[in-house]
Amino acid sequence: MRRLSEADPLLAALIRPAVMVELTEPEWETLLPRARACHLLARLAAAARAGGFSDQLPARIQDHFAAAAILTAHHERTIHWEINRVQRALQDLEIPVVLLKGAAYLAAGLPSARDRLVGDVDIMVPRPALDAVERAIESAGWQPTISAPYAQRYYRTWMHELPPLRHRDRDTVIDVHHAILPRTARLKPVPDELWAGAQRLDGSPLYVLAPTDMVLHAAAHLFHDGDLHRSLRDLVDISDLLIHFAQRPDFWPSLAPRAAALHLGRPLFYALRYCRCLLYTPMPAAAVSAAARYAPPKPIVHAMDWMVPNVLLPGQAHSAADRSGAAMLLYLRSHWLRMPPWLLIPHLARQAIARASQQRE
Amino acid sequence: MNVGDLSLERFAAELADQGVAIRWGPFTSRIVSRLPELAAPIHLLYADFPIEPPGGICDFHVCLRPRSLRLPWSQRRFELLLDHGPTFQPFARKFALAALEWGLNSCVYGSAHRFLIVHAAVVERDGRALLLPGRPGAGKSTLCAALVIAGWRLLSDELALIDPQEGQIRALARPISLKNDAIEIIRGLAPDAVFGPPAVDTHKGTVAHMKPPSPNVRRAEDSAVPQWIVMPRFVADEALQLNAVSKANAFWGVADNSINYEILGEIGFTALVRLIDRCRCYTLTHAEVVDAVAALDRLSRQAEASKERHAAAV
Amino acid sequence: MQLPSDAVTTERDRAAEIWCLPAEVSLLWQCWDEEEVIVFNRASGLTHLLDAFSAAVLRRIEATPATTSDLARFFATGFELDERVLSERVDAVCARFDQLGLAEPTPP
Repeated sequence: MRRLSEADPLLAALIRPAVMVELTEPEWETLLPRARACHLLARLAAAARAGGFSDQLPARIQDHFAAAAILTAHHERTIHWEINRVQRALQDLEIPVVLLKGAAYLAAGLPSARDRLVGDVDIMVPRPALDAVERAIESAGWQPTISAPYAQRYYRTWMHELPPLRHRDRDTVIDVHHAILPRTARLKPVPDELWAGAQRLDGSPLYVLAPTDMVLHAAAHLFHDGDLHRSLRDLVDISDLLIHFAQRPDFWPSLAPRAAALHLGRPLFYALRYCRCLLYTPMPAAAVSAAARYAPPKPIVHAMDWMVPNVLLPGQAHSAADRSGAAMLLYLRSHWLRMPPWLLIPHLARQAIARASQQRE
Repeated sequence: MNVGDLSLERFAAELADQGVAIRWGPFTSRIVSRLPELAAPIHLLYADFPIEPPGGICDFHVCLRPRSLRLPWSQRRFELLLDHGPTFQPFARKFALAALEWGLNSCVYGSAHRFLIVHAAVVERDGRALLLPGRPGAGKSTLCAALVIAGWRLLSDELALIDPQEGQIRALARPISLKNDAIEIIRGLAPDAVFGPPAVDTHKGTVAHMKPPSPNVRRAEDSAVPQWIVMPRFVADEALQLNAVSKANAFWGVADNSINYEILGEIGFTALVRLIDRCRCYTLTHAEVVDAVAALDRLSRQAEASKERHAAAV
Repeated sequence: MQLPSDAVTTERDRAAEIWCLPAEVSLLWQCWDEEEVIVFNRASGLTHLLDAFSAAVLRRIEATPATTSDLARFFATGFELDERVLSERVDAVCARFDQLGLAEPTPP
């Protein structure tokens, strides 16, 4: 795989933020739109603030960083409030609730500066409690967004979650899961293991996944979910989690064994590979070799080495044709992993028909 | 150097190549256009706008380029890219100029959060700004154009940028977008007004852009202190009514028309309270734009007269 | 963590519950006339437009947490209105505050 990081100022700024002070105005002129397109502007702004060198940057960049910080504050306030509301809605049920993804990062005080509102909150609840949770969420004001029976079935039967619910006053969305990958998926993570590892947040009735599980869930989401468009942000999240949790002495040694227990070795292999090669995330050699055990055959690794940078890195480095071809391939691949082939083709055809009829309206 | 100082040929060449960095109000946009038919309209409408020297940083990057090469010219479509990313599905090329204006506004909505941004026309007279909040279609652009012809300074026909700390409104002075009958009405009021090429048979009817007066563009660095908030409503055959509204209603009306009020959180709340505190607030129902302009002129002269009375009394 | 086999719902004694602002919530008030009051919730970042009665109830709760019957009694006495009628309005207003996150009932 090409050494992209050297040629790409966005990657360089992510890997070593202090480099931003050395950038010329023409280099910023290239970097600013790309950072914004990848939703990484806030991440760069936060890094500059943390590094104490924001005021050494050009005035226009400081303005854009300040605007990104406002978006970050809005995002954090909104997600904290949604977590507050979810807790209020479910407090009478006395069941454990696990926060997932972005809401979990925020609640646990993990690095996650965002410059757009991803107002969705994802939670995981025990499967037997799903009906009671659905009733409680709906009586607190969230309403179903999807009525088509086919789509309802898709979410409940294949995706391990309720169809998304949108709050009637706040317009925010909640996704209620009881496992993190669809039941029909070729990879079968074990929900009970995830529950056993979940950790309660300080001063809160809510839980988050164990550090290893948070990383593995993010990796599974990135490398096996459908939409890889602009997911450089998600790879950066995984990298930030790895750097944050590296402070715990038991984290790295337990990561590969945990991946094995959850049948998530392959996503771990990809996550470590692309974090290492694109973002230069520091990681022990032992962890890399342990994950190599779960690598796919070499031709597939080569294909992924071509596809993944093409999809994750928008902009001048790669041609548009490359990118849309690669994105299409990855989308199909993700669906293939989720559903057996005999289910896949009717499903995609229906989605395409549904989209086309929406556009005609 | 301004856009108009470049020959059309040179402007067209740069527009299609690396693009031209045009400054408007507090922002610069690098505009790239590979649609040859757009060079002349942009050169016309933006003639008075400064070009940023090369090598600097542009706030926004806008690119318009063709999509299909196989169909007859009239059916070919174009793409609009903001920050190199696609926006909507490719459209027919007659929409391109309107799309550029939409794209520039869209850049502001997405990232200019050091301001409180409101969907509003803003004009100024004697140092005092009149804010006309309303959704697209409320008639504010037509009223804005008529006020400018009557001598008010144009700050914006679509976006009010309010400084959250000091409360002033920044000027953009960009072309005013007009639709259907409004185009003829404004041409009737100002036969010498300069317009870009109209786009006919769009889903909104005919759309055309009025060139902003050169003195207004030259004063784009001058912000203005808000004095009046008037929420316009065009209702055919209704008698003119200029009615005072409660401050709470005005607060709600402006917040409702704001792009980023909630994003700003407490800063937005405080800024909006300050704005409503210092302004007199009205609704204006009108059927004839000329009557509306007269009513607003009277409003501004009342303020001037009361200022003189106050000065005399002191 | 042990997974429960089913969800358990706690019983609530609604009459004895004390209404107060939720823990994280702090409010900014703006009032130009008495008829309509604007309140900003710093925790949610949301802004609400309240009628005079709702605003008065919320201000009272903010100053002094109370049960719904305490609130009805307080306003009945202050405005010389029928307490039973007021009770229903207070209940409705408090329920809406709970949905909006401006106030919530806590166990006695």
